[in-house]
Amino acid sequence: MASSDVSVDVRPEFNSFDHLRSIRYIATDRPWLTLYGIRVQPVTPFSSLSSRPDLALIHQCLPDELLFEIFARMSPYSLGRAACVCRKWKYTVRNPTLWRNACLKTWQRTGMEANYQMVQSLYDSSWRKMWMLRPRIQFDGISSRRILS
Amino acid sequence: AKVISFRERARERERERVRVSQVMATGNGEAAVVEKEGEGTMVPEALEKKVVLDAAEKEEEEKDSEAEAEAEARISKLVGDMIDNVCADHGIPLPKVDIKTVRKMAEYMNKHFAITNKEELKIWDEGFINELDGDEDKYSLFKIIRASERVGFYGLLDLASDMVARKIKAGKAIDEIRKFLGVEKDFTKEEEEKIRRENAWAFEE
Repeated sequence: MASSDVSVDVRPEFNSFDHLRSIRYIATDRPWLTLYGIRVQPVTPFSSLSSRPDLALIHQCLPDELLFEIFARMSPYSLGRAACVCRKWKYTVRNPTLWRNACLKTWQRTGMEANYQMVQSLYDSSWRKMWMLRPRIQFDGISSRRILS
Repeated sequence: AKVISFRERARERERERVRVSQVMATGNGEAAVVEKEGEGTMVPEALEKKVVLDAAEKEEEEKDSEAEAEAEARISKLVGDMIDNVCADHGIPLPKVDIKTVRKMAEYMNKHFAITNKEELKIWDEGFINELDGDEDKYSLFKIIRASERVGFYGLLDLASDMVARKIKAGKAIDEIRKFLGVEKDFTKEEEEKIRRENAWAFEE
C-alpha cells in the first residue's frame, strides 16, 4: 500500500512538469522570416504601345469619355478623318454609339425599329459597317454605295 | 445609351432651372416666389444670398474663390444640388479647378442669368468661346470642358465641346488637325496606309 502510493504520486508530477517544459522550447514556424532582407520588385504594369508619354495637351486634359463627347458632335465624315490622326483617336472613333447615331440620323425616314432589324440581319450588327455599305443620298443627290476594303 | 439618357435628363433639369432663374430675373426688380414640382421652393433670398465657389488651385496672391448669387450658381447642376441639400454654407469646393477657370465659369453664369433674349445670348456665347479658343495652347478651352463636366455644367460643356468639334471638322487635312491640337502621329507607315484606305470615303465630302 505504501509503495503503490509513492509510485503513483511521483510519476504524474514528473510527467506534467516535463511536458510543460518541453512545450516552452519548441520552435514555432515563421516562414515569412525567409523573406527578411530580400527586396521584392513590384511587377511593372503593361506598358502602352508607345513608350513615350503622350504629349498632346488634349489627351492630358481630357479623359476618354470627354474626347468621346467631342466626337459625338461631329459628322461621320469628320469622324472618318479623325480616325486617321492617331491611334487613340482611331480606337475612340470605333465606338459603336457614334455610328449608331450617324445611321439613325441618316436614315430617319426608315424608322428606328427597321434600322435596328436591318443592322442585325444585313450588317453583322455593325453600325459602322451599315453606314459605310448602305446606299444613301449624297449631298449632290447621287445615290452611291461604299466599298469596304 | 444609359449614360446618354442620363445626360439628357440632366440637361432637361438644367433648362428647368434656367427657366426658374429667368422668371425671377424678369420680375421688374421684384423677386417673385416660384414653386415647381420636384424643384423645391425658390425664395427671394436666392437673389441676395451669395454662394462661394472655391478653386482647388490658385496662383500666388490670387484670391481663391468667386462669390456668386445663389440663383446664378444654380445653373450648374452640382451647385444647385448642393444648395438644395444645404451643403453650400461654407463654400462649394470645385476639385481640380483653378481660379482662372472658375472665373470664366462665373462669367458664363452671370451672363446666362442676366440675358434672357436667346439670340443675344447666342451671340455672346460665340464671343465667349472664341475668346477661350484664342489661348495659344488651347489650355483654357480644355480646362473649361473638364471643369464643366465635373460640375455638371452641361450648357458650358456643350458650348466648349462644340467649339473643339468644329475645329476638328474645319481642319480638312490630317496634319492640320494634328498641328491644331498638338497630337503626335504614332502610326507606323503600314498602319497609316491601312487606316487611310479604310476611311478614304471620309475625304470625299
